[in-house]
Amino acid sequence: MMKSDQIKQHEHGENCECGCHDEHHDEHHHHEHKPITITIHDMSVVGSYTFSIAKSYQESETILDDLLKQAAKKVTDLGGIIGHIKAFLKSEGESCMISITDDESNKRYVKESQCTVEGVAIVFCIEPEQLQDILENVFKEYISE
Amino acid sequence: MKILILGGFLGSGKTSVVIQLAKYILGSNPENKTKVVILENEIGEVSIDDKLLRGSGYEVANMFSGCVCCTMAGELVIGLHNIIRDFNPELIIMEATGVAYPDNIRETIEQSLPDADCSITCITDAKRWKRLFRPMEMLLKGQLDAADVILINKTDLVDGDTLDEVEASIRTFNDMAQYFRISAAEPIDTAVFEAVLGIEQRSFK
Repeated sequence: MMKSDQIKQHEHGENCECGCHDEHHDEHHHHEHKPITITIHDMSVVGSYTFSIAKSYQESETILDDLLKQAAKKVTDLGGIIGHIKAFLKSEGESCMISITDDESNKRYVKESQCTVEGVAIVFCIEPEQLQDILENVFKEYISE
Repeated sequence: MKILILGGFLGSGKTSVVIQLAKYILGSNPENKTKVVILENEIGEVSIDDKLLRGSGYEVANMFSGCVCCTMAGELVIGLHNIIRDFNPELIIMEATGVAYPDNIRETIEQSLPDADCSITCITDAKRWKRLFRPMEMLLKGQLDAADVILINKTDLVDGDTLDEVEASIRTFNDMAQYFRISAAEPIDTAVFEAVLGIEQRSFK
């Protein structure tokens, strides 16, 4: 199986035309996304969102599950059709600093209670502004953090 | 070179099938030298499915923020040409967005790569079919009518009578395709993958 790292192993310049990516498509190109963006594609309204939950992975999983159910209910309550509402939850987990001043290393561990969420809500039959309102309302506690 | 376009409505289970298909291709022969590239296309500003695939042990090339059946057709052509130039793969699995018309993708590919053996497999959601059929009819029809293989997924979530009704309804859009009933939540029969890849492609194993 060919890995994406292999596909991306060449350097991507500003005007790279490799086609494997564009400015949004390549993980090497980091830039800030707005917490919620709404786009329209054909008949669908696409809401993309990123935010953090300052809780443990287990707590965040429960919270995110509930948030997505809330969003889904609000879409259907407005007469919309859910195409797909999904999110990827990632725990920042543990981190460690390793320092060396002589020949022995010193390690300091940090336990982070922080999870990141990246997701999309692709729906039909509601207005883009309505989806924006739904996502802002449902995620407001975490977007403002 | 074979290009498999995997289409189907949002949430029908395309990524779940890709994960099992990749396992099938590599599973029995880890020394397989066959070159396979998975291309993920997602419509949102953030990508989700490629993270899931990576989490399952597979990494993918992704194109997101648009649909390669229309707004990103140009990027698809450039991307395919560069993948072929750099890696000369034997199989490219192209997972389309859930709002893509796979036949448009095939048309774009065949115009640019006339020698490519391009096939379409479309996944449908048995559980939501009746709910989506009317409001999404044109999109569903457009996704299904050119499919060579149609997988009716989530069969574990409906009863037998409902499944028969769903299949009959789907067949009104395309009665020429090969049909399989699957549940991607469980191991998919290898005969399904052989059909998806084409009999002549058994060498992929």
